[in-house]
Amino acid sequence: MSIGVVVFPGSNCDRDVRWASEGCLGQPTRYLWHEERDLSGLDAVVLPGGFSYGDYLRCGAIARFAPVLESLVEFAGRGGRVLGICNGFQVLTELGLLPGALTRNRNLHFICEDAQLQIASARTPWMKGHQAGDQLTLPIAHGEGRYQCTDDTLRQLEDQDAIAFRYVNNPNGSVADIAGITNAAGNVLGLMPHPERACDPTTGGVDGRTLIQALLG
Amino acid sequence: MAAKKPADVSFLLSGWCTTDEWSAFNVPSRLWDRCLGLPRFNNPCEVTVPRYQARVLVNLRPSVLDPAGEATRSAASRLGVDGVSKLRIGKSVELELDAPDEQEARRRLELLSDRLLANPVIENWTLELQQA
Repeated sequence: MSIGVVVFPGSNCDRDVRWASEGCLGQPTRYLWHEERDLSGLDAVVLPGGFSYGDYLRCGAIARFAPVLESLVEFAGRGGRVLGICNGFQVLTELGLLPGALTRNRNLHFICEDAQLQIASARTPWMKGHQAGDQLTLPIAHGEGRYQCTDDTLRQLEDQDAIAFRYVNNPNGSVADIAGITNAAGNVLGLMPHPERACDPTTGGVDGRTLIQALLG
Repeated sequence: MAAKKPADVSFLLSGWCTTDEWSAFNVPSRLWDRCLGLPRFNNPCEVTVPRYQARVLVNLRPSVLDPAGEATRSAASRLGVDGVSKLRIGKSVELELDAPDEQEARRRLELLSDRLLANPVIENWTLELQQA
């Protein structure tokens, strides 16, 4: 049982994720360089936050073509757990593993603060021990976190019960206060907040532990 | 076909050149090997294909808020330019492309625009194409 953390040029939360998963929670974790294709032996893969390939063109637009992500699409198709955090969420939407897109915050600011979140759906294994309506506090740190999708996609997300988290106080103008979504099967989760920054009590809360534990849960 | 490998002189470099630096240094040799593999005369690769110039304009879809455009619009009124009722910011991508004909050039550019230059979830694009 182990976790892979993808490292793109420009990722900057890869070590934070490993500290959370391995340092705080004792789950075996290794890095996956973006040019690797071998995901053997992994039960879960994390796409971490940062600025993959400098976020040139659009956030996640270039990362989508990384060799490791070709393997990731198959991995997700077989039901492997995939967690995209912040830039990782942007990459998952560009890749088409999750619907919609993320763009400039409504107020144009880079927002770095704690955000109150409500669990909108507890149907997936990511939310083990939680119920819909429970609230968590996780840090956010993004300039392009405004979730956008068509009305049809929003209806589909609602029908599939695929909205995982909503902001209690929408900080960035996201459609329907969306902070994180899953695919229909529930094995792929993307969210803008940073659960890995809320696992170590010395540097923040521990509300992020549920999601990091669920990687191998 | 395996390219002919240059003589391994990496031992000469050890100590003052990292493996990555050596690989970078090595690239021209490999290209040279490929050149040697091609016929020097009547090379089909030298037949000129038309070159096309293109510009792809990428804009946010009308339904998507453009906060940068709104901020710029409010700066326009501070500059004293009145009456700007709409200002939306997009991207312009200029390309040159070699392709056998215009239809093929258009096909490649449409694929590029739709799959890379724009994200159709939030952006529209238009293509201008002409032969150089």
